[in-house]
Amino acid sequence: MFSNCTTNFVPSQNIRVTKNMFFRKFIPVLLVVLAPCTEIRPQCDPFLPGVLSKRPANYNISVRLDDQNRMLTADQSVTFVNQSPVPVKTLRLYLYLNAFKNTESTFLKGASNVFGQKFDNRKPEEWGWVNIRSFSRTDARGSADLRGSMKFVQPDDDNPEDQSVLEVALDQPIAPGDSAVFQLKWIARIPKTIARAGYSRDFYLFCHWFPQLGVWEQDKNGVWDWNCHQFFRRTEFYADFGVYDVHITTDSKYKMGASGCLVTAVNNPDGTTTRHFHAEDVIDFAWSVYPYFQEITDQWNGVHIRLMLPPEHAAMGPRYLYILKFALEYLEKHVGKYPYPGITVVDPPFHGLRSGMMEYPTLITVGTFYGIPECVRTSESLLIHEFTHQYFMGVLASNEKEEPWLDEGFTTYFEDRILDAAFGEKQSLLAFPGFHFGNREQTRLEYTAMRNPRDGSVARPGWEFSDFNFKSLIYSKTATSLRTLQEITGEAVMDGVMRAYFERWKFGHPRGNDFMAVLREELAKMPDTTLANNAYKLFETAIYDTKVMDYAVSSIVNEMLPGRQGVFGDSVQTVADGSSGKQPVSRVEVQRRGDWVYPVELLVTFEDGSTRMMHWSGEAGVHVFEFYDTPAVVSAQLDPYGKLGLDMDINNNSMTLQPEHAPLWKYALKFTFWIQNLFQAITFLV
Amino acid sequence: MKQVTQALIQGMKTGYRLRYVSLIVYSMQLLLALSVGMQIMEVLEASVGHSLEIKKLFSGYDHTVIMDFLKVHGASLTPLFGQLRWILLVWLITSVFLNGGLLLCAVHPERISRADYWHFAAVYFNRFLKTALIFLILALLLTALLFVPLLIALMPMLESFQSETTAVGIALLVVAVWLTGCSVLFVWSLLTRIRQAGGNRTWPAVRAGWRDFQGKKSRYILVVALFLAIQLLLAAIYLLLSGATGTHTGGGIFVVFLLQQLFVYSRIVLRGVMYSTVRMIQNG
Repeated sequence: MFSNCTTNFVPSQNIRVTKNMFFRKFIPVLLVVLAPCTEIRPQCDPFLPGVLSKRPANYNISVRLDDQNRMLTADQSVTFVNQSPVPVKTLRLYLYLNAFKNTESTFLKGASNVFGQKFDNRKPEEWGWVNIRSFSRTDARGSADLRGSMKFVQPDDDNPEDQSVLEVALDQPIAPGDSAVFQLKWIARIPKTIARAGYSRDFYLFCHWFPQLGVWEQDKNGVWDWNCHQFFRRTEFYADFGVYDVHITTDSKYKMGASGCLVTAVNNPDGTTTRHFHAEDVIDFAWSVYPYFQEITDQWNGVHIRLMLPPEHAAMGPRYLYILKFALEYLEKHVGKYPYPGITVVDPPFHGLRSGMMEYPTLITVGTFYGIPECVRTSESLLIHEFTHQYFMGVLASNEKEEPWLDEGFTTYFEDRILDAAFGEKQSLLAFPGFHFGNREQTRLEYTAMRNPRDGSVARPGWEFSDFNFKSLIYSKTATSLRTLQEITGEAVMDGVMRAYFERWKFGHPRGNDFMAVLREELAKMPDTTLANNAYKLFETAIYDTKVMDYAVSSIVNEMLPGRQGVFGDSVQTVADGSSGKQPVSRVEVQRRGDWVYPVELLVTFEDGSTRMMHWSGEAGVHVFEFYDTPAVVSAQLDPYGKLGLDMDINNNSMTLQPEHAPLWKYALKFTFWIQNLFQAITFLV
Repeated sequence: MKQVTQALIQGMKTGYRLRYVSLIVYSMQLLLALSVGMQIMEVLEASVGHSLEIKKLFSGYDHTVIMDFLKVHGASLTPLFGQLRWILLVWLITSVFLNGGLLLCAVHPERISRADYWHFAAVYFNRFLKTALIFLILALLLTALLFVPLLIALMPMLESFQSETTAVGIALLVVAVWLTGCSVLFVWSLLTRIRQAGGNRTWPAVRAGWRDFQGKKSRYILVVALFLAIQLLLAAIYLLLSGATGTHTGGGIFVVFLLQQLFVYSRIVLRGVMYSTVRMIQNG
């Protein structure tokens, strides 16, 4: 329990931005001194050993939760550092909560439901909004009230009802290299959970909850401007790096998980508790409260792990810890070191599941169900996915709105790798006796089983996708393409690509082209330049084109050609007697059934057991391989090492003249057996 | 308990004597099931039978092979599932005939022969068909009464309660009530048919069957629970043996097939044992 003493341990704005080492060194001393009157449980040292990002957007927020009225009241300061070569004359901020204000917002317009949640009969107090009551600039250059120059803008769809982006005209430009501090006072109505944000009974998740700056960057034409899109149903977030100091006051009954690390917690005389969290070099800040959270803490290699679980999910604790530590180790080995001091995992109660399965810097939400058996690893899969986002979204802060494949696709690729490494291929997701499959298999199927796999390219903004192709293309096709790239080039090369990408772009905003440039450079190091070029083209086609790959072996024919006979020569006619003997010939016909051309290998097996590896450019629609004077061909297999996961149908990649009937019998008889049992079940009363 | 034990022992003896008659029921059932199973085999053979990927199924289930097959050739199976619906209906009616013969042989152990089996099956078919319809309707009503409200209330329950454990508990309770209800219906339907075999007309037999059940309900429920446990034990043995045998070779697949059929046949014999045991308790 926390005592009722207060503490004046509030670092100044200057300290947050410039990293005052004196302050940092004396934190432990302060904690010891204050310990008798304020019981503090610092989760970890929130101050990183160095400045990892450029920190253009820094926030200091004091917020109070009124859970009776489902309201937030906040004082917020934003320090913006103009790191561009041009002056900044306006600000643009996300007001995401306004996307949940009514059904006419861009987020909700045209939707009958979001995550299966309908909006009929929603009470007025169940909608969400944020209202900025004051907006001023207060810094070394003086102060100015900017509230009068605020206006909602709709840069993407001109929907006048949408209030998810706010533009503020500045009284004076922020010169290159200068910084400005803005003070905001705002209140917000917390919605009944929509798109993760909000409440479900007494569980709360506060994500995209405060006015947040867009990203001041160069657009495609090289013009500096705000990248601050409206909130769409199928887009996530894009913000800049900075330092967050957040003081959160709630009823003392709540237990809390948040981004960053807890620095202090003070019990107030009015029955509330104020917790101070600090996070550095992150792009967002989220927090969650619930009175019944059970907290499990652990650490891996200096990274503090904090699980916040409802009591009924307590049994998941060891499972979460195991897989999280496994993921930490795996990603450090194959991508790069996890740079933050801690990670908090929030597992919502089932009624709050709509807040689950999401990633925020150093805080992720997962989702599970009471009693889920160990052979069902969907919860582990979710945890790995959300945690991997710490790399592909958190550190490599690509634009989730404009290029969602860069975070979701890469994350899914590593989710597959980590799950398979932890639990074994073909059983990493479900491992029932007799029925099992792996995460990677499922990812590939989500793409190859699409109704129309040519349904647009992967490299598009999130808002251009539909409910039907969003996951299949962005997550699954990208991940399967990366996996195919790995199979072609080898795991070591792929790891080299990922490490180079991470090192070059960490704490930055990489674009798709930036990854492609890294890929080209890393592949160029391969000794086989043809293979490297083919691999690059394959990935480029996968991401920027809509082509479909399907190769097939369509026939194997063995026959004897007649011996030499007929009429030969111009002047003398000779009739051969055919006694020269017959010549055996075997023909293997292969087909390219898709429009994607990629060179493939063909493994041909002959009657005597010998094999021959053939190479096909894969260009022609049909190609026939002919073998003279060889034993008869018994089987042929395209892509024999199973590298091309993007191939739509694996079963037609091979053909044998000596088919194995036993496995078919096995399934036909199994089916018969289950029909017999069904017969008996339906006639129990007869 | 003593009476139940004695009835059970007697039932087992009768069940043993019913082994050939049970074979008739089993054979008919297998033939009908094979009529679909063999078509599945033909579809598999024609679509992916020549693929080398099929070998992967030797070592067990392979999600990629199966799902790629279903993705490309799944439409070939659709008519078979449509056909299966009609075959189920045919089996439902046929089983009234087949189980009728089995029941009469079980309650008249002195007349267990193939000739008597066919005779009983033919004579009692109409009466037992009517009874079967009555109890199938009752079972449908029971199922609908329990599960429709549960399905409607499940999502609101999951969102209303602090923890999903409450909803899980309620769902398990509903399943337990449904199983108990089905067990009662099973015994009641059996007692009704035994009454019909004794000469009662349908509705009087239904009423008499209910009275019979009321009189010794705890014993009947005990017997049903016991037989349910035996069936679960059989299923566990089957899973254990089929897992241990493996299906990595053609021989292994054949052994598993024999196990499967032994399991199905045992369940039919058990039905005969059950009929006889219930009859003994009713008489006792």
